[in-house]
Amino acid sequence: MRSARETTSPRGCPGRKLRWHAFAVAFGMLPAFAAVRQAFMRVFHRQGVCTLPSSKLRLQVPEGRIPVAIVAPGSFSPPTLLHLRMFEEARDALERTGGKFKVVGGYMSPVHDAYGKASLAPAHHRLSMVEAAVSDSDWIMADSWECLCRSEWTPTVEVVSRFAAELSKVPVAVGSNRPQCGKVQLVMLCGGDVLQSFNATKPSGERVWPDDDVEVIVGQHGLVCVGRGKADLGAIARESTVLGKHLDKIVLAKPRVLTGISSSVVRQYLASNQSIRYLVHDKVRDYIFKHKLNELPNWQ
Amino acid sequence: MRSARETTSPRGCPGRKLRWHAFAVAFGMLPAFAAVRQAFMRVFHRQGVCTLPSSKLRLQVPEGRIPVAIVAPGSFSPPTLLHLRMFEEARDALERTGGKFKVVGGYMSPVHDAYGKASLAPAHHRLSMVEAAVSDSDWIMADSWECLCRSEWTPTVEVVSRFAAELSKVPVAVGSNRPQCGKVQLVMLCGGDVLQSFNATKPSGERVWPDDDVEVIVGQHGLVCVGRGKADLGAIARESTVLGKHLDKIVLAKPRVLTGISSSVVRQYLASNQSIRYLVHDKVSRGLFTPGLVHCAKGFFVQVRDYIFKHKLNELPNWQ
Repeated sequence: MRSARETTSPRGCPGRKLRWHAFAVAFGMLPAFAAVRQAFMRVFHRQGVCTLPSSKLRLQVPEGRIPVAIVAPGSFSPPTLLHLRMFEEARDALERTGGKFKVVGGYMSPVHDAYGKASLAPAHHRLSMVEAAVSDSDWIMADSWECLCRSEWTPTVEVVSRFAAELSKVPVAVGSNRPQCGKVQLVMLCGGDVLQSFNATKPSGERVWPDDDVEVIVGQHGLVCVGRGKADLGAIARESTVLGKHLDKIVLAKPRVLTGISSSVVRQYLASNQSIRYLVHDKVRDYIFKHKLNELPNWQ
Repeated sequence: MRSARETTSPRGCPGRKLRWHAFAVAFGMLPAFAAVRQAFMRVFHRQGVCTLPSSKLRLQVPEGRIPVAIVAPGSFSPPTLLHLRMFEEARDALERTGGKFKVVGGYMSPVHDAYGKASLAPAHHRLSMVEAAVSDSDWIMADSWECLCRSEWTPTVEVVSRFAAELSKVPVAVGSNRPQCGKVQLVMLCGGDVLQSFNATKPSGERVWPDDDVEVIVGQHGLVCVGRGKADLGAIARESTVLGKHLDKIVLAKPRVLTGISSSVVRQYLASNQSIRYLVHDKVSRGLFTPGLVHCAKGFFVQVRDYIFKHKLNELPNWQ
């Protein structure tokens, strides 16, 4: 009498029972595999800090549209819902400017710790918070080149140029044409305060932005500015000599609602032990408390 | 030779094989059970529209604190992140006013369709959006008494009184005392515009708020007002004769940031086919066994933005 455990059929092949057991064992080991893979990714993911993320990039745009990517360098200490909202406003503004553009992706690029701003949380924390903030966006990505791949602070013009260089290697298909490299254009996203700083001079008399840098960022690439306050962005742009030359490369987005959620205000709430729910992405809030960023000395 | 399918062991009990098969079948039917339960909830949940939700209520408060619940009547067409933010600011303000209060829960109460405001989406949609908006809050609940249990519009004073009556039946323990009913106080949450309306007169000369109503809402219960603009709420409160009598029952919260996300602005974005991402609640949380979904009548749609587009509320004629 064959016992239930017998594993070979008369034909000598592994019986159904063995296959089932093997499958069940493999299935049961799935969590273990996932954990091993996750540990692997944690160890080796950081070796990918210098590569441009491209998983959310749109590789196909409709006929007659210019593929464009939005890049936002910033402190993101922490990233707030306003940052995310600015991306949405920028995309709407670009795609509605005569239907010329199609946004293929967006990047949040946290600045290097060496920038020296007092309120900067450590770079890996800021990067993780940005990753959390965009985790459920289908087009915005976090980029770590500036804050983790470089050993010192990188001027914005170099950051923008690096993005442009990397994006020119991404093949995108326009309409029914075959995918081609070098199609994706770049715009830098900034707020009204940054637009004003293009015209500003430091107390030393030096310009905040070297004219050559602005020439590259705005002249070669482009700018999309999302107003935060009541400032007349158009006037600011026209007043500036260097910006005034490239008005056609500047898109101004005037949001209907000014959420005003700055990182500094979020830090103030945290310092007073008040709720920051609905000011930042829920996952960012979870991260802040898990890693006790609310207790950072430079966040008090 | 016993075949692999034989199900009884020599002892006559169902063999391992049968138990395994039975388990596998039951396990495989779990999604079906969940679907049946969801359908059941959809059909029968609405019979609970008149009961006060209480699942998120805190039934224990520290020694020396007064348990208080926050009630926000409103249109919520749609509910925005500003509404949710106002709850958070209100709770912080109440719990930091000398540490007198402890907030035990919050309620969003959508107004009845018969209120007649032009931009009201149908009540069941507004209720579902509010349920979605609070689905992942651990203290705010959606209440359907006003918009679905009543057959016509209910003045705010009656809504507030009903909340107070229901909450007085909830036993809450203060410190190490035993749970007692009648402990929970009530405050109404409103924005600066509503506070201003307490003093306002309609074109007909009639007061927007009957003085008796304000006497009940503010005098018997309380008010927490979260500023939306630069208006000096304190001055507004002091100017009003009826409010001025009960300044001790009014808590003013002045947020550090005024997000300004009104429902009308969200409708404008929708009408222009622009993004409303990060203006309304936006949590993707789909799962059979996610905790917190128990309260959600519509099952697993816990994204307000998703709800709007799924039910084509952006195409409502009164939202254009």
